[in-house]
Amino acid sequence: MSPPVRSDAWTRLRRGKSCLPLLAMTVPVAAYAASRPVLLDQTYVEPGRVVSVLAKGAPPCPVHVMEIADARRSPEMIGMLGGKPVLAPKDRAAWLLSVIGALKGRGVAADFSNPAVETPGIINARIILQTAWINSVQVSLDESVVFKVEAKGIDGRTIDRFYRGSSSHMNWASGDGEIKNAINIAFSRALDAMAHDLAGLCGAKQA
Amino acid sequence: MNMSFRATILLAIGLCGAGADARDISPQSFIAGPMRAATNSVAVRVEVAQAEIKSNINPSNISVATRGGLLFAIADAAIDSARAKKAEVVITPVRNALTGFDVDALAIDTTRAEMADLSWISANAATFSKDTSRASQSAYLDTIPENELALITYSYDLSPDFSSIRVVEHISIAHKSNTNSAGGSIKPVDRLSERNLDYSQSVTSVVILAGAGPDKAANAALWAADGGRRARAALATAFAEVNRLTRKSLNLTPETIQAMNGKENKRVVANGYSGRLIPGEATGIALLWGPGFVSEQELADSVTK
Repeated sequence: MSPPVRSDAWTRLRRGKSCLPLLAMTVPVAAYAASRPVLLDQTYVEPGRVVSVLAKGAPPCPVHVMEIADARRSPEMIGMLGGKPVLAPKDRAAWLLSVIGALKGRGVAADFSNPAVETPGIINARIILQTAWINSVQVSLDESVVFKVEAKGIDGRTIDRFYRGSSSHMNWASGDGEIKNAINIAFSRALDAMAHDLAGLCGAKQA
Repeated sequence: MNMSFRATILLAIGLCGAGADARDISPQSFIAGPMRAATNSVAVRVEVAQAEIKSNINPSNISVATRGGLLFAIADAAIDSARAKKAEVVITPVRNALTGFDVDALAIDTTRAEMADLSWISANAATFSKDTSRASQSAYLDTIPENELALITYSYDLSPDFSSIRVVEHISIAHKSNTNSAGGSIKPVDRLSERNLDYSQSVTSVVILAGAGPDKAANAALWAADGGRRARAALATAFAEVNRLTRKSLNLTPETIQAMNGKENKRVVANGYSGRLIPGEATGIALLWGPGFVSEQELADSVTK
């Protein structure tokens, strides 16, 4: 006598009989996900632990930000991953404010009040986003961010240079979270370098 | 009898050969007569998806060499990721040196120059986009007054060994109606599918760094030196060359394509490109027909000294 044959869904799945329709159902979903645009979050989120550039207990370095601008030709775009567009948030001014505001965690207190009017006694800076780009080479996800910073310190010293943040890592699934985190890593690296120089201009004791 | 049988076979082979030649020429590889005869009928959109010069890697082929397997595919992915990471580090000085060099403007100016004296191109100014998705292209196609849209898409990158800079220009012309060449109905986004395009052709310009060696970082340093003088000159040279090649390409006819495919033009492989070597080029320029023109030249001495 032959053993009883189980005909429940699990057995069918194990035998691969119900796998094909299941797989067929996932194809249009995957195709849609592959071409659906990714919209970056409105607010910048630190991708990891932030370390202040200042020595322990040193007061934050105040910087009056006179201008934050986006000089990119197509500011709505961050990049194309295959056929999938990666888009900047709708309110890009608020987005950039949140990025530059993240200097605070690094020991630089950015003040955005009274733009375009120089504030005496502290550093005055103009920060311009030149590049924010995400790209894919084979299986890697590569992103780069470039800011141009023009800053004038109290003692007449100035900064006029570009700050680049970039990184490259395995692209696991071109997932939304993966893409958003990747671009924030690039921002975070550019902010680290910027904070270091601004704190130097401030004359603050650095870590 | 035997002789006439042989002659028939040879004739048949000859006819097959001629047939194959004619079949090789895709109707998408030249501007058709009616389009050329129309005036102001094709709108232009320039597209440059990238924001900086791209790096490149030679992909790992372990899984191919070992005839497949998930484990080897994973190994390939890990190797490719590591190579890409390294290339992204090596390319950074070149990108820094090119900061502020407006390649998008170069692409727009190049397109303007290419289209300036073509009567079938619309008099309306070309637009620019960094969104190269079909959804965006299809939506734009619906907004233009013209019946056809030429998408001029540029890309530029460094070779995996950092010895050359390459600019590729691809021209696709799509029509507004939701029908294919057989008259069947198609989805709006499928108007941009390769098979439904009225024209699709690429031109490539490769500019080789004089004195490039096997050391990627050393080559990158040469490109980046003096504020990226060589890299800027190579990009300007490559864009000027794709301008020349595009003009040449847009003037092609089935007859001129067939002539280029002729056996008297030797098939060669150079810098990873294969194609028929086209005679009559200026000294220092190697022009291949792939199909699609590919030109190779060394960066002029006046720039590198």
